[in-house]
Amino acid sequence: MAGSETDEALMALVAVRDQRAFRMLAERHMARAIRLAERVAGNAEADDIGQEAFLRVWTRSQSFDPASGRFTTWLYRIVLNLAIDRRRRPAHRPIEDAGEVASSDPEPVALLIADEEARTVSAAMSALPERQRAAIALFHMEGLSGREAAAAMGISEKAFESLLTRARAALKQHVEKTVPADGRCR
Amino acid sequence: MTLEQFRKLAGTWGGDLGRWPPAEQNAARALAATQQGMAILEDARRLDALMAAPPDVSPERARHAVHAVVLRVAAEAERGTRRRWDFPGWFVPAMSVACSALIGISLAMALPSGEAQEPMVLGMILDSGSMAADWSLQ
Repeated sequence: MAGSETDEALMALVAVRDQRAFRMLAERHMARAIRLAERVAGNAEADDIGQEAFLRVWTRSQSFDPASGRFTTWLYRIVLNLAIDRRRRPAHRPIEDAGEVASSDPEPVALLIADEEARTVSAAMSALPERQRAAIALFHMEGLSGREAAAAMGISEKAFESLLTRARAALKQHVEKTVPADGRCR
Repeated sequence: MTLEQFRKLAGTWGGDLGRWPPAEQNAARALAATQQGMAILEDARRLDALMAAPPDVSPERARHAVHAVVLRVAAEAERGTRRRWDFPGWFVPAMSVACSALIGISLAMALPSGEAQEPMVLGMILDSGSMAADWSLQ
């Protein structure tokens, strides 16, 4: 099987229970699924969500219709549904609890600043409602267009625009408190 | 397009004009060339960069997740195959009774009837050819 087959061609094989095609799809997109899950639900749940999403790709492969959108859009939607669902569970752990253990190695100052900024953004993101977080992750992190992101979230383009506007405004407000104009965190 | 509209659009879509809705891009270009426009876009780009940074997912972490899900799918597929050969609880006893009945019927039809034929019948059943005809000879 050639590695250059499109996602949609591989999905057609997955629908007839081809496990090799499934493996190729998972290898291609697992990191993407985990990244999105981590942005929306937090680090602790991300790997589980990635696996669960691909299990759904396998069990629901026959409901995928290439005429109605790309495989990645369908995958994003599965990941978002799972991530939002987990996030709403009462016993979830806040995103800050799952912070990575700081390395004891000495780091260049630039890396420390970048790390601090990343933490600031993560903290600001975790305070947003999950749908706003998803909007930012799809548009800014995954680089989807407004139309594609709206399709992945299953909402209208207008509704997506509104979500993104509110999310960016909230984040900007949070970041401006901690990251001054020179880009250094306070 | 007014500067306020421009600012609002940058607040939604960020500092890269190429990612704005196509219908707005042409009108926005003239404003983007002004000093105020440039400052608005620069400010938006700073926020874009912070939001675009993805969480770090190492190749090993992704590989581990792929391996785990592939195993789960293989197990699922095997369960599905086994399920195809699973018979309902009543099936085996019912088939045993049916097979016994079939053997009985075919034996009854194959064997000759009547008392006179008894030794021959026994011979057919016990394959008497393999036994000595007269035990006293041994």
